[in-house]
Amino acid sequence: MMKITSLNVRGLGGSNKRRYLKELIFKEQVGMMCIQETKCSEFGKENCFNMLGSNEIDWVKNETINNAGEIITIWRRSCFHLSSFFNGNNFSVIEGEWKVGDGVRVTIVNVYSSRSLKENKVIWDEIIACRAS
Amino acid sequence: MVSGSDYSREIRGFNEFIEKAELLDIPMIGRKFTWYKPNGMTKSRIDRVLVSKEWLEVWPNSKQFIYSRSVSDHCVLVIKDSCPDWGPKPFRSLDIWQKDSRFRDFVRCKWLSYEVHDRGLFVFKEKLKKLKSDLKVWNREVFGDVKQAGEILKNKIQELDARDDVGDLDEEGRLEMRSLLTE
Repeated sequence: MMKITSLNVRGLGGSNKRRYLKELIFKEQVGMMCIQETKCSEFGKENCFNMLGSNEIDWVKNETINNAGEIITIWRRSCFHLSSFFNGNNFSVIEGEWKVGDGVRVTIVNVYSSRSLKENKVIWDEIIACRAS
Repeated sequence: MVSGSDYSREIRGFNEFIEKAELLDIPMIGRKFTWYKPNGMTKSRIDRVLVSKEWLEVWPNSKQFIYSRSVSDHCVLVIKDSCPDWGPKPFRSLDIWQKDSRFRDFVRCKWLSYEVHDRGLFVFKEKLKKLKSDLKVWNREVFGDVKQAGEILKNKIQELDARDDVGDLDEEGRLEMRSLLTE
């Protein structure tokens, strides 16, 4: 089953938020989550394990984002297998196999747009370049 | 502060990006907007999911479900491949069956012949399922193709009507028409 969520969480500091995400990923059987504005650079491996309470989870973090902080892409190992990733300016490209049927090769791009058109144009061009390669 | 012309430039830029990247929008279910200002004066479709043509070949019913806001002022977007579900199909019967004496016997005989062992309701559901497909076959054997028969009747009536319109319907034709209409 393909089930992916995207959420601009506005900071992952509060425990209620983490509880909510945990519920989504486990109760609703979400395979992958694209989260924007996690706003806590200390949100490392420890926190991820604490938050999700499972080894079944893997993730890619992107801290290169200007001003408002970070995006993180989390997935269940039983749903997705990562083959490579690339952190661009304001976006993460996650490539791998979605574990359904004989497996489907997918590329997921988690993007946190900027408020500035000039910056967005750079982001858009970079994504188009990624898509072409 | 974003002025009007900046805003339209932004939209144009974004649309150009979507086109160049060959991405497609997928249907939104649940809500039209994904972000609301606390005062409710501003709302926007600021979060969105775009997919490629190839993605839709694998998951043709991809939709983005917009959940109610809870932990953030942005909504959660859930992307799923969801087929339209019309719910369980109803069990239908034709009036013509009830008038046929063989119908009751057929149902009784078939119902008793099914062997399903499980919880009561499950047994009932399974038997109904089997009966449905058996009745389909029985209907075709006994009554033939009802739809086709109806089509033939309709065509005959139309033909007679056309003859009547040009004043070419004799007494025999009128009798035929009367019997066709009662059918």
